[in-house]
Amino acid sequence: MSDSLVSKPADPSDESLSEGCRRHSLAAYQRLFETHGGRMKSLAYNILGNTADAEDAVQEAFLKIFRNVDSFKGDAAFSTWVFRILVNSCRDIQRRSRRRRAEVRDSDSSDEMNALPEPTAADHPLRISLEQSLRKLDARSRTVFLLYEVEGFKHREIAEVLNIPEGTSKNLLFHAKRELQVLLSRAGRIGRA
Amino acid sequence: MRTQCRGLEEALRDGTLGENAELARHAETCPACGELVRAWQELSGAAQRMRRTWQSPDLWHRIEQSLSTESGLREGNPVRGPGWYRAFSNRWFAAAACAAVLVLSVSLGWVLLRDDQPQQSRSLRADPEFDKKILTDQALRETEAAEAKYIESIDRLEKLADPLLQKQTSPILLNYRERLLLLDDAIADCRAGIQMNRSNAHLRRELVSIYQEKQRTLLNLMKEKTDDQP
Repeated sequence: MSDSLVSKPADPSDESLSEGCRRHSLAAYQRLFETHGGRMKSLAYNILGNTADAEDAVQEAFLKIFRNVDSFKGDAAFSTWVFRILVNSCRDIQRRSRRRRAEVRDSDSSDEMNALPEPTAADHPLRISLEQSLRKLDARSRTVFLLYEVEGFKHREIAEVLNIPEGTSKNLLFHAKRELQVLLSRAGRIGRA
Repeated sequence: MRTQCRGLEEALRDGTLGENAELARHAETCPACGELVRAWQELSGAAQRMRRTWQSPDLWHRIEQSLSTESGLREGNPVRGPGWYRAFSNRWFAAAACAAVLVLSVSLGWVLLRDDQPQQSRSLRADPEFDKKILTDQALRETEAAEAKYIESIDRLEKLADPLLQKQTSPILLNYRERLLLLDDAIADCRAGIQMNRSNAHLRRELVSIYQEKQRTLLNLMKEKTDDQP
């Protein structure tokens, strides 16, 4: 994890992107989508467990950015602010689907914590076990793990995205990996914990 | 646990193992640490395979439509050209610009005609609304400074409480951990709301009360630890 994958506050491309978005220029939003859309989709997918919800979360995040871009003060990088909004959109979608399920009292026992990403042809046994084990972690540890290990964010950036101190991000990742190590070693997927 | 084993665990926590040659050598000779490092590397490798990419040909179109609807642009009447041209082509914007020029001209005339008024009366500082705004900004700065102090103090307490929480030896400790996670979620929600409106006094008050609650919980947890000790 040598280089930051999101921009720094002083990064000119980040600044011009935030300026364009402030002006509500569609071209700037398209550039934002081209630059960060892929990673936004991937993160949302790993939080929500399916492509349809992930795309909804990205769309919702863009709308929230558009509506609230004036509240971005430039204290952090624009891109980390964007990912913070995305994580909040994912939470909103999870809450809504939880409420819907409670209302419908569906007989289907699956819930968001057990909603696993759709399998693909390139599935790897350890990766599948990891996805299953991740569902057993609390939401914050899971999000820190996804941001750091899967999407390549630095702790400083995660701290900005999740509004937590950098030390907390490090601790959450450490405990997430410790817990995952225990779960996966019990399943015989990696070395003993 | 040997000092180097503990050091290795700390390096894993800080993500600095790669920078410490001595610990890396230790991991090669200590079977437990070697296995730990290998397991973590396997985890990281598997995590990288979790990154997903797929084609979403309609997604940008959907986003574009929702943004256009939001900004009030009429669908099917897109204006082509550079940004400034598109903006000026919007009739409402042009009308607003004309109105602004008119207001500015009238204001300028009014200021020139009132030339004999004392300087002080035209000063922004004499405007009570201006003073009010300054006070509001000052209050906001003070609140943010107080919040930063809470975060600092909580961070220190968390560092002390963390080893105890990770042991999870009793249901009481598990309860503490759950409670702290709930409080963290509430803090994150509150801060997300504040991000949208920094001056929302209600949310600010709520955030401070959650911080206080977290601080109390951590202090109780530390007390629990002290009581446990013989």
